Amino acid sequence: MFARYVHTNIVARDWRRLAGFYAQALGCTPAPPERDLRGDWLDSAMGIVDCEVQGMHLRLPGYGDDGPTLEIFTYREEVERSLRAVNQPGLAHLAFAVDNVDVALASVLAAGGSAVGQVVDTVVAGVGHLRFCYAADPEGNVIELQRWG
Amino acid sequence: MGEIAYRVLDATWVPRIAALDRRETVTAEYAVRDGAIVAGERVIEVPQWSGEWLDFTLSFVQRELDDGAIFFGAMDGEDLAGLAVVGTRLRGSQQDYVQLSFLMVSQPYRRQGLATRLMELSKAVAREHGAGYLYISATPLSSAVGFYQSQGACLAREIDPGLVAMGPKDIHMEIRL
Repeated sequence: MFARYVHTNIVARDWRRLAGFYAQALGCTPAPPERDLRGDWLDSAMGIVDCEVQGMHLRLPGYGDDGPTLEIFTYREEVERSLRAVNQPGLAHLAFAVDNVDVALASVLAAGGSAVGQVVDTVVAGVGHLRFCYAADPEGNVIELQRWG
Repeated sequence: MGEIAYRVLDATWVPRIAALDRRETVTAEYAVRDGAIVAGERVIEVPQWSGEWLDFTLSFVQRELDDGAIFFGAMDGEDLAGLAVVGTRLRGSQQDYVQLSFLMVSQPYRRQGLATRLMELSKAVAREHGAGYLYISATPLSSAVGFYQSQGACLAREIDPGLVAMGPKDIHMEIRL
């Protein structure tokens, strides 16, 4: 079986704002076209009656024009859920390797994100030195910023 | 004047600080007497950059960036409307201070919340680097000291002697994070 990782989907309250955040703070780039999806096929796929979705893909940094994307969608009707916690079971965070964790965290803050914990240095046995932190995008999705050295 | 956006800037932006209008009229000069901040009424016209003061400021900011500080810009399009420079290195005998090295908003952009937002970003950086307090060596003028007091600053428990040497008249303050 052939398999290739292609995208991670984020359901956003405001997809334009969230896409702008990932572009400004972490260098993601738009991968057009914008999506405006509806119809019986979408209802069938999602299992939602009268489903409507708008959004776009962002190319993640470091993989060129054929790399994986963030798919940021906003549904016309959404289901509320509690704030994410870093130890909540399920998909937990997006991790970005950066050349300077301090500057990357500041960029996340300036773009409207927030910090989750503190910047930490540690040595992971058998792997190496790691400087990293957890942050959150403007909608509370957790991001890890890391540098191995 | 457009919507203000906040960005992290690199050292290539340091010379652009010269474009900020630093002029202001202040009504009081502060000093520390018997462990308290006291105001002396005095009208002071702060002039535009002199060559010497500009060179000192640009060199100071560059040194801070070389030491790992973060340079936040408040941007009106591609124009620098204000900035904050905040350290990422813990200081003081208790290693619980991070220094706010520089904060300035250009004259046309004052009283619009830029300094408050730049302070919020600086506090967040300090907090996430493990600081309990933000350390500020403030110009002893009412605009600076009054603003920092409005942000919760009080006299620092511990004075950084290196910063005293750089600004002997400065008011050394801290904000609990």
